[in-house]
Amino acid sequence: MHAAARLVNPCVPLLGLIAVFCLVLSLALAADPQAGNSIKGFRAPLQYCDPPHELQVKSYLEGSESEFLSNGLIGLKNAKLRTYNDDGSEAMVAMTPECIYDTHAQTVSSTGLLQVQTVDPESGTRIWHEGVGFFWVQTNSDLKISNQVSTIITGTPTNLFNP
Amino acid sequence: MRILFIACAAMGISFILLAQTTFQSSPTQSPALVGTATNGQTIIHSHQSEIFMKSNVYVWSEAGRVDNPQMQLKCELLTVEAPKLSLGKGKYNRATAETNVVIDWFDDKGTNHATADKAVYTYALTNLAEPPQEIWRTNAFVVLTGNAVVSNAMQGVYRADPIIWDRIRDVIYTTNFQEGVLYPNKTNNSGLFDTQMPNDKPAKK
Repeated sequence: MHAAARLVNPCVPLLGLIAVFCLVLSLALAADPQAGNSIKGFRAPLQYCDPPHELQVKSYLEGSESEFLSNGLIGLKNAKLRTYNDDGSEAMVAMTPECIYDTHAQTVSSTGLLQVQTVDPESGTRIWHEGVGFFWVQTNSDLKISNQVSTIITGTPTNLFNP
Repeated sequence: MRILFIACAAMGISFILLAQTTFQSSPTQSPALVGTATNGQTIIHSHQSEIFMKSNVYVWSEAGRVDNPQMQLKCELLTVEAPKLSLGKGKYNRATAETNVVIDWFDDKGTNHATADKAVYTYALTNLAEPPQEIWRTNAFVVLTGNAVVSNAMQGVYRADPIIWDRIRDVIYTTNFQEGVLYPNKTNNSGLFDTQMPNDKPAKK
């Protein structure tokens, strides 16, 4: 018994103890559902234009991180939602620190901050929207901002209030 | 030896898992709102808004307030329609303010104040000729309805329903006049409704 004990390296139990601790810690972290399904760099075209521009992307969603949740929901961080005109020019870009993309209902929503820019290519008029909480419906390209809306319109519109 | 191998394998798996979770949670900067400010910018505040991208319609609702170098407007519901017309078809814009509408604007006659249940601003650029010929006509009207009152601190108060303001000819008129109050001591300058109202002339001695 004593002879067998002498043959064991004294570092081995200590290493084993550290390894078991690390394994338990890692499994605990891996069991966190928020970390388990995350990937970096989400990019997806959501919708294409109608013919004859069917190859032109109409709306595009991207995020620095994504997290696949249940029921077809995808959580996105630092998300940008872009919509395009038929000629490929950008119609709108919406930015939010985080949002949920519902792949079944084809909606994007969040309770957080939203910043939106739209540009009229003809007049050069830029419209900035900002608000808290939003809901975007992909099928008809409607965007609703729920609270604290501020809009700034800049540029030179062709129909100024004073003609 | 077996114990050492298991320990190393366990540590390796642990570090892989830890590395994954660490990299996944690295935050990035949120995008900042950066705009090009001009002197002529219009700022709109409200509780809610809705953008209909297909029809290019913008709606601001609940406690709407518009600030512009030329005017201020308050209302409960503001709808701006700017349909995208094909080239050569001209331009059509309409802004409708509804419920408790209050408008203050400034011109060479001073500060003007208007209240109404509803105010509709319509701008239309129409080609009167057959393309490719072009004869453009511009129409721009502001129509106030529902307890509409326009007042100017220097000139008077004008109550009618509707009150129609032709922005191109700069004339205010109505088809249903209700009440008018003029300030006779303050009418030396051109009148608020100067197409109908003669200026005071000094008495001949």
